[in-house]
Amino acid sequence: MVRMFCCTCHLNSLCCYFHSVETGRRLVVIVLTLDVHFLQHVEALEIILQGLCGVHRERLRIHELCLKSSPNLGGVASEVRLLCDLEQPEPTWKNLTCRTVRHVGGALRGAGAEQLSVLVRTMVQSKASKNVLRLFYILGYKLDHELLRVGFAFHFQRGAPITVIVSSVNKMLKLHATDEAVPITPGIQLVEVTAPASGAI
Amino acid sequence: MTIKWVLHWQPNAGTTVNSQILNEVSQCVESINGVKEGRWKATLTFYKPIIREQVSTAEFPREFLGITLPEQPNKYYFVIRGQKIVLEAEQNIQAIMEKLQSYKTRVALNFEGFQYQLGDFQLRVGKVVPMQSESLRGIVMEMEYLPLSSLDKSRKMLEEFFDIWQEALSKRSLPGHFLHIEPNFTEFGLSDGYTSQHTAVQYATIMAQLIATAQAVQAVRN
Repeated sequence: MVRMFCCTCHLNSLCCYFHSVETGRRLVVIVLTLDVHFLQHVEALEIILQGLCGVHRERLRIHELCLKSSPNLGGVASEVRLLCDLEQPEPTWKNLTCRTVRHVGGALRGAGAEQLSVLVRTMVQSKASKNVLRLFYILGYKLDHELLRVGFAFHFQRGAPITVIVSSVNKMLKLHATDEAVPITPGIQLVEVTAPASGAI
Repeated sequence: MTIKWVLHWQPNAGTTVNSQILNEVSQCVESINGVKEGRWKATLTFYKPIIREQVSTAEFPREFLGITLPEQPNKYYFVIRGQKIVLEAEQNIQAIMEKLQSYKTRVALNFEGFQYQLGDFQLRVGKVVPMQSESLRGIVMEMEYLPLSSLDKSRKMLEEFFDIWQEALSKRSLPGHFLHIEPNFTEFGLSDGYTSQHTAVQYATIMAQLIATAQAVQAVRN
């Protein structure tokens, strides 16, 4: 649980606090986990973010397939995520036509990272054509688990492209059954801020 | 996107490819009024799995290729011919593969040379060399018909141009000829409308031919 004081709205446990991290050329993801008291303020956060960002929110419904390398592949086990955007008009979810490949690095460590009250991880992602799932299966990756993220996102520019996502994380009770997903941690929303790591935010 | 045939040089039995042949081919293009425009370069990388223990690699793909094409500088292509799969992704996919540490480069090749304009056709003649080496492993040629993007509709034009080209080249009495082998694009899930994925599949097919030719030469030597 993270509670932050926002200088703009003078409220506790409402806002994301942006940190500047130089980590090279990768995207930086800043993750906050906000507790059940936050839920009543989700709408308020949305309004504040809309004002800050100057853009309308986008609905977010992402089917995330987490693949892990088979036991003998690679010096160490590796994990890759394939994202299917269920908000797209094309019925991708029925054919599992994932279009984004994402690798999320480990949490940043060190004295600087310990002073941060948020979790910072590097991320690299790439758009891909529709058979990326089949490719990774052929390469020796297997489905470890799948998630459904539901929420909203703001994409805006402040010297660099920044994305703020507020979402709940859900699990499927049956394979690929996104319509029957249930929250993994009811009442908890995840706030993610992503930006290019080469620029301060 | 316009149609492209990718050809490779097939040396006669008992001969090998050399830079003199490459020069003759380039001169032949210019002799039929091809206008030299500039350089081009494509790359092809063979990946191999990193295996933790002494286990068989049979469960992993044998020919896992990564390809860059000059007309798509921000894209990267993966082809696994045996599984009939081609993938187009952003360049960042290479960084992801590096992060995963599950596959590494076995060998990387450059396809590079000059580009020529010849009426409705664009030709590219290039040598195949390993990265960080000038050892010639093959000669390739791209033959692009600019007005059309349908494979079926442009086939006749390309066939006729190919015949003209072969005839012009035959006058130089070179020890070999260019070969065009059209992959079964449908097996790769590709349609009649030509795309860079079609080009990537052609390069993967050519690579198989170059390897087969090299192995045949090696067998004769042994």
